[in-house]
Amino acid sequence: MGSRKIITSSKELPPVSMSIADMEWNKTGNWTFLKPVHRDRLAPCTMECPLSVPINRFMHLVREGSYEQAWKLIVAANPLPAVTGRVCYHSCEGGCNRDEFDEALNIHGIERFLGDAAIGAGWELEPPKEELGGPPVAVLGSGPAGLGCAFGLRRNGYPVIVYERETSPGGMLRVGVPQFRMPRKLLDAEIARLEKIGVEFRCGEQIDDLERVSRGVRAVFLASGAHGSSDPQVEGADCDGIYFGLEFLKKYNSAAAVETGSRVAVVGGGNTALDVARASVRLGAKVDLYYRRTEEEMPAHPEELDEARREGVGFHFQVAPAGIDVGSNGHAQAVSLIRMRQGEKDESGRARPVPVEGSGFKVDASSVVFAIGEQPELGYLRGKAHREGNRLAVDALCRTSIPGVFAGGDIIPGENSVSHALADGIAAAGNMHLIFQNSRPPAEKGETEKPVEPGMINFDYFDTAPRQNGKLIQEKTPKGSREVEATLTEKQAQEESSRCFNCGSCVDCDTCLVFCPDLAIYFQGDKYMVKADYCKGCGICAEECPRGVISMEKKD
Amino acid sequence: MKALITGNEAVSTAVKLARVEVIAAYPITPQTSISEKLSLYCSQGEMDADFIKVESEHSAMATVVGAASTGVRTFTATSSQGLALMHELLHWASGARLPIVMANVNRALGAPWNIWCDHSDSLSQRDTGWLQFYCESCQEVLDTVLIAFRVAETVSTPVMVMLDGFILSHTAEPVDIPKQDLVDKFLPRQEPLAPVDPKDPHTLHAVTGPEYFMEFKEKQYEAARRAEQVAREVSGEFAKIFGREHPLTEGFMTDDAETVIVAAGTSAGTGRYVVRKLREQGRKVGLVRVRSFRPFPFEEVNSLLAGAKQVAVLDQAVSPGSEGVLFQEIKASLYESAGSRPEVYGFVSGLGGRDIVPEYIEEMVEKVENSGKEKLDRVNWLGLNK
Repeated sequence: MGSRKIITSSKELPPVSMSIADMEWNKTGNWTFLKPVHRDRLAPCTMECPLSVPINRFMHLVREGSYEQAWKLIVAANPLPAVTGRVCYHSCEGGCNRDEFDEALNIHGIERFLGDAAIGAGWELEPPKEELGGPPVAVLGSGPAGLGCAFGLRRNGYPVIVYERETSPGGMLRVGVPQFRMPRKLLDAEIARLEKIGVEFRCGEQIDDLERVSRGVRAVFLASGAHGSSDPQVEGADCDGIYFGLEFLKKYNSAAAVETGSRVAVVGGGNTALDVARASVRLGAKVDLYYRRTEEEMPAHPEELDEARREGVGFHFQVAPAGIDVGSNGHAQAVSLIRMRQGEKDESGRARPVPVEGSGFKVDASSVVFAIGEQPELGYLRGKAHREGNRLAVDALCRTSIPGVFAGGDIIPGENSVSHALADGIAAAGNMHLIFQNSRPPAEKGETEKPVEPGMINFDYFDTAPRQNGKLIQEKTPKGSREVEATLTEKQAQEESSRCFNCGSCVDCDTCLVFCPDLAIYFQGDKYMVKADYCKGCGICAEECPRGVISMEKKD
Repeated sequence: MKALITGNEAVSTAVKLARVEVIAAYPITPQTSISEKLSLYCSQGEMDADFIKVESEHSAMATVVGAASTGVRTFTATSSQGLALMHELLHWASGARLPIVMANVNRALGAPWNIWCDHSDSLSQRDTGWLQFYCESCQEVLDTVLIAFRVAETVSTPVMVMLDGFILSHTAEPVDIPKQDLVDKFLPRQEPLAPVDPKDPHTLHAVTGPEYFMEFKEKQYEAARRAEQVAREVSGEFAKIFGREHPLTEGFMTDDAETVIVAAGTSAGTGRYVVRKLREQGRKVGLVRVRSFRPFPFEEVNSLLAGAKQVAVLDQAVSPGSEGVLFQEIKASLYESAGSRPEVYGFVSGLGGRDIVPEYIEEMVEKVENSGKEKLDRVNWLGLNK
């Protein structure tokens, strides 16, 4: 092997021109200053995900039918996939590179499929490797932020007590999100799984003073959410038949009956307003929604808007309430409205809505629901912590100004969503762990990794395929708590996951190995290796890689 | 068993009988139905072969070059522009000494665009190192493909089998289909010249410097020359098994002929018709059909033409700036002839599918017998529109 033989006579020539021995002596690798590097890269979906779920990786496992493994990859980052598969607004899909090819992947649909499969099969979260014992961490609130934090702490073996003023845990997921968007038995199942890994819930405990829970604990995590309603400042808004959005939803979601009458006017443009409107449709009312700004400015998620429209909710933009007509029975009869126009831009950069003089009009309404924003209720802090606007100020490690007290979710500034709240909780738990272990918290992130761009995907390796969506199972006038859309079937989940490019994630497809003209790539253990002695740095592997895993980099 | 099949079907049938293992082809008129039929055989399991789809003829040839290097039996088919696109790899295949067999359905090369028969495509590839056989009937096509594999594998040199576009490729004739066991007997597996073995890796055909390059070319040349005798022996063996003779050259009424027509491909059939007709008039005319253009059977050609006074060569390709291609070959061959050499005249007809009618051949005979050297051109065009 590798010996060099010199031919001195043409009689020694082989029948065709060929090397006498093998060519291993010829270290062609020294011809180049470049080497291919296989590296799992950040997928745009993962980048867009507040929880950084490795979507590009679990999709491949779904395709292979390894559902439990796929689910385990998700729950390493997000303990509530059956919940987020339904109520997360899937910013991941907005980043999907497949959108440049045919249509973005139905990521939330597959997440929901796995979440439901896990509940069906009884898959469990990994219990902590060791119990650390000692004083617990007190978590105030069992909404997504609180659950995220409790999950994060339990993973590392810290005792956790979660306080919840309602009778069951779940926070906004239970009191705010209607059942037709989040079936309760699935929520219960995902929360029960957290209990199984040792999260202790103390429900029905209203904490009106932080002092009550902060003694003798390792730390406190505030996740009491935003449950206070904004004052509509509308004349007559204190009569019967007037609701605040969240108050309405709490009633709707509990056993209590909600009396709406036949015509419901919903005021507001957020997701709460839409949930109220859709809940009212299910109560048999004719529902109209009034929003003072334009449709484009609505903070509600467009998909929810579409569903509400489909269910018959009337939308009226640039209209604001001016007063409530109260009947002799003390009950709302009608709502006075006035048209708005776009005025000058306010400090948020949006046009301030300005009333159009003389444009007032009146519509009958048996109920008026004001869903114009929720605020944190922070009385239990007794004014101690620093604020940012009406929310709690926190530093990069989720710490409030009170020593040992962390906060996350809707009580801190930033985006209000289930996934952001979960992410806050998990991040806070991670930071607590570092602080408890006296480790240095990670330095401020420097240059962030760039995600895989569409140009790095080799579209030639993929076929167009229609996006698989869950079957619509609710008719035009929906009733009860039934979900609107079915979970993807296994066949659909298979087809849909097969559409995933797995951007930046090596799936052992062998393309690089097959194309390498120097046979310099080989598979060892669970990954591809490159023989530096023979790789000529031609870059064919990087060019061919279907999913942008390989890049040509300078040799050391 | 006799079947009524076209020339293209005769090719596909022969390839199936030869138990080819890898086929790569790209469609081009008038070849397409060969590869269509073969892909059907592969997909329906009638053949145990890989049909590899490719994006061009260049890739088709590259693919069979790769496959043949491993020692499997390979086949491809093309025509005209497709053959021209393969040009670079034709040299590679022959230099690498790979016994690839290819059917080339003769078709004119553009411009102007044309899909009909002439011999300009294959004769342009004269010096690529491929052996070239020109066929006259569908039966001969089938038989020649089988013979081609045997010759190619014996001398480690690729072989092209030519059939005239449409005239043979798309015309059905009764063809005797040989029995598989007889074909298997005629075409045993042969060890490749340089088998590829992953356990004993070598670099093949890499840079070979001035000190050895000529030696390999000389070996290649000798093999292609040796192919003449091999082809004769293989055809003889074929005749013993299947009862059909396929000599490298075919003389028709040449024994006492004073004027001999030389042709290749299907025009030889028209030539024989004219010869018979003129013989009935008492004129001493004969015909020589060149079946093996490479290797060129010098002695056979010279002996068949030895007694003639004048020779009229019918070419279906012309070398612009020079002469008809077959004409040059015949003329060069006759230079080696002992004794008095016949006068040789070149005629060009049948380009781009123009029919070669008996009148043109009679005109050839008329001209070479009566006009004399001074009245004839270097290239005499037959059937040009006035």
